[in-house]
Amino acid sequence: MQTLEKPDLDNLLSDEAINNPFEFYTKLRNENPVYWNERWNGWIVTGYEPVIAGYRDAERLSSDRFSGPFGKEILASKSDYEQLIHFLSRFFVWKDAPFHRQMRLLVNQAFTPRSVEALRPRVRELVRDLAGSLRGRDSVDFMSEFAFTLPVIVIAEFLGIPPEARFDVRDWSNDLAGVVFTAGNAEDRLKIGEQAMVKLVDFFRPIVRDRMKNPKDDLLTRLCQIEDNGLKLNEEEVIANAVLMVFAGHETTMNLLASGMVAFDRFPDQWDRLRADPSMVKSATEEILRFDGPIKGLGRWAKEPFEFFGCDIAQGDRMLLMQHAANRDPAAFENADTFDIGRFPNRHAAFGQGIHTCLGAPLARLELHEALEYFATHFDRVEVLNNELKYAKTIVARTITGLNLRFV
Amino acid sequence: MSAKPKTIAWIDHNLCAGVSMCTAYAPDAIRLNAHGQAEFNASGDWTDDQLLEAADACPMSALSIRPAPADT
Repeated sequence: MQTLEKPDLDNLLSDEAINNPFEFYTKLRNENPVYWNERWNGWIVTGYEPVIAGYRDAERLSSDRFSGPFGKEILASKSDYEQLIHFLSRFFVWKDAPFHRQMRLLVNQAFTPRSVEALRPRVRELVRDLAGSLRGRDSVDFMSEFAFTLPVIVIAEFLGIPPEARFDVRDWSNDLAGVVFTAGNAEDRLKIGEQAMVKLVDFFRPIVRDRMKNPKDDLLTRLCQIEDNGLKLNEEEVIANAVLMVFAGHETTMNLLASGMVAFDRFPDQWDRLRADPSMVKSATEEILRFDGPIKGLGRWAKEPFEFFGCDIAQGDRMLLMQHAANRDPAAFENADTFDIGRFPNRHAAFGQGIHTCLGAPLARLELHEALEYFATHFDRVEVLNNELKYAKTIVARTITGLNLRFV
Repeated sequence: MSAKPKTIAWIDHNLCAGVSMCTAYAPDAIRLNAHGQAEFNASGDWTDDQLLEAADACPMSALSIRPAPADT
């Protein structure tokens, strides 16, 4: 008789952790919602309450990637990856107060629900153009034909990137993703990241300079113009933010669209429910975000020692706040593993919480609402054709590696 | 002491994520509570314009402006 091996809860890149994160992180949560991981050398937080508390505690839990335990490696390699580090260090998502606060106040102006609402007619048109040819085909490569393309075009047009350049920009931004979304900083990834950053900066700089002199109706112009109490973004900061937006604006939304299709395939009753009442797109979007959101978790580090849900956190300890797992915590959600598009309330943590809450949330929601509404009013059924779904080997992102669908 | 306000900020705690944009635009009208969520402070020294800015800046659409309830 075989003995059952104790599952390896320390390997966050194991096959199970990547392809079946729900079961994997449930095991961690059952051990301890705040679990010390020897191999990652930090705390893995999987309970809803501690994840929310961790995200809201920006005073003690730092997002700064360029100091503390995350900063050592990347700063040690500074001379080889000058552009990469110069601009990544201006990503306000990786900053603490006061830099983060000032930058977020400025950039937030362009991403309020009202600013984003202006994009709705164009998003609707794009959805119609892209989805119009999907019906009745034997198999649709959903990522390349829709999930990838819609968010890339939306963010590129919003920013003001010329159409002929949008796919170059996307490719460079994908190379950057290798640096940002993958644990550790292997040399080859940093090298590719540096090349990509040089290309992105070379691309954006002349456009940004032009917008400063010749304003247009686009986000690059707004980034040049936005002002708060006499404070403005300088050229380097406008470029850094433009790179951040391309980067953050497509990968996550693409994965969210894919997760939604997979969830509806697994729960066809919920698809029927949406078809019967397409006004449920809003709550359906929130449920997709909760059920299988595109960011599994993000890292923080402790600026000071403190007690956190019964655990002694030491200064400099790393902490991984896993919202993907928190969103399935039975202590916070009834029937947490059931996909229920009418769920209310649905206080999921998919966009994070606190001062770093996803800036692009209103835009992601808008794209999902429009896509789901079109699908629900035009297709009777959506079927996943893959026998097995595979996900990219990263701790942070929930990136599906291929999704073939049939739209009936 | 200012006159009784005609408007109030109403915060939906199902939506509020504690982003703190509102506290930046209307610091005397809105504070974060112990749970890190926004709370309206009716007795603070604020203007209607500040409330409108705070509501517009909320990325979660958690803050809305409502007429103040009649005297109780």
